[in-house]
Amino acid sequence: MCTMIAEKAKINASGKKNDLQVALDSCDVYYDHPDHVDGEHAIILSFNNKKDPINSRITLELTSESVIELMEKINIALSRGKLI
Amino acid sequence: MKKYNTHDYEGLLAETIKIKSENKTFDTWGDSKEDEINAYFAKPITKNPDEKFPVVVLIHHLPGWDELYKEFTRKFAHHGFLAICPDLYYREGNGSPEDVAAQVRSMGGVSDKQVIGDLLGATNYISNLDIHNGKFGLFGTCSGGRHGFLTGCKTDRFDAIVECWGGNVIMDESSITDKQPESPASLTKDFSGSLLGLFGNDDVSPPPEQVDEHERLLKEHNKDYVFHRYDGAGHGFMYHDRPLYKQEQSVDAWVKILDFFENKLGV
Repeated sequence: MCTMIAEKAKINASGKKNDLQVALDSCDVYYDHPDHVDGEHAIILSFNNKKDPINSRITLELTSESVIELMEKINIALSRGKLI
Repeated sequence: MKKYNTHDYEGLLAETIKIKSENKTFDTWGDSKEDEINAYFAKPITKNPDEKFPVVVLIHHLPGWDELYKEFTRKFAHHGFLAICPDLYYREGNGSPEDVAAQVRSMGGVSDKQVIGDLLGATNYISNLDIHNGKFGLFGTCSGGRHGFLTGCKTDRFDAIVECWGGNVIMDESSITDKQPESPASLTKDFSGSLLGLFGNDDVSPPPEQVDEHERLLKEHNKDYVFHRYDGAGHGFMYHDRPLYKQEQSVDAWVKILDFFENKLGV
């Protein structure tokens, strides 16, 4: 069965969907079988606005290697911006 | 498996319909009312107006009531079954199947009780039609595989059940939730009907050792079952629209599924 491994994050963000900027206040992070990206499992980031979670949803599917690479780069960027 | 020659007549009708779930909702006065959901229904068209058909109810997977499941529904009708697939996520909103499924996941899934009520609602809809032969099958993959086995333990409405890679059939204490209050495996003694189980040996949910335990319990309780376990296949190996697809194993599995239902339900 697909997993129910899911975490919720409160966020303050904006995303672009169909040429419109969408205010995003929530992100579900889950580990599951991807719809598109190659591989048995992926980390899936499901961003949305809780006022209209279905229509506001913007999603990313990432392989585990990509997530590790991305986390490293995000941490470097935060560090260089003296945010951590 | 029903096969057509090139000169044979083939026909089916497929459409979205409304069905009444066996679940009830309650209005502000506390009065119960019937709960209506969508279902995708496909029926064969034949030259014999008196023909009766066996029934297959499809339980869609965690990714939702999607195009793949509607294809599966039409496939069963093509092979001579009345096929119906209720939208188990109907109540959660209107959107693309992926987006609605993400919302359902965010809410922790749908409850087992609600799913069984929806599946029984689908059988009620067909029971009221004068075109069924009285034999009912149930088919599910992924979470739907688990729901299929569970439904076979909770009701005796189905003569034959196909469980494809149902994870969480064996649940430990930490997996039990309000929405999934029982481990289906713990109910094995109550399973009714015949079971066909299909699994990939590279799957991690369910892993092979859980499939072993699932089979051990079926044997212990003397249930009518057949398991097929495929090398070189993992979870979702019949999903031709996903990277998980395994062509050889999938083709073989479809033959086994259709033969099983034909033998148990008649076509």
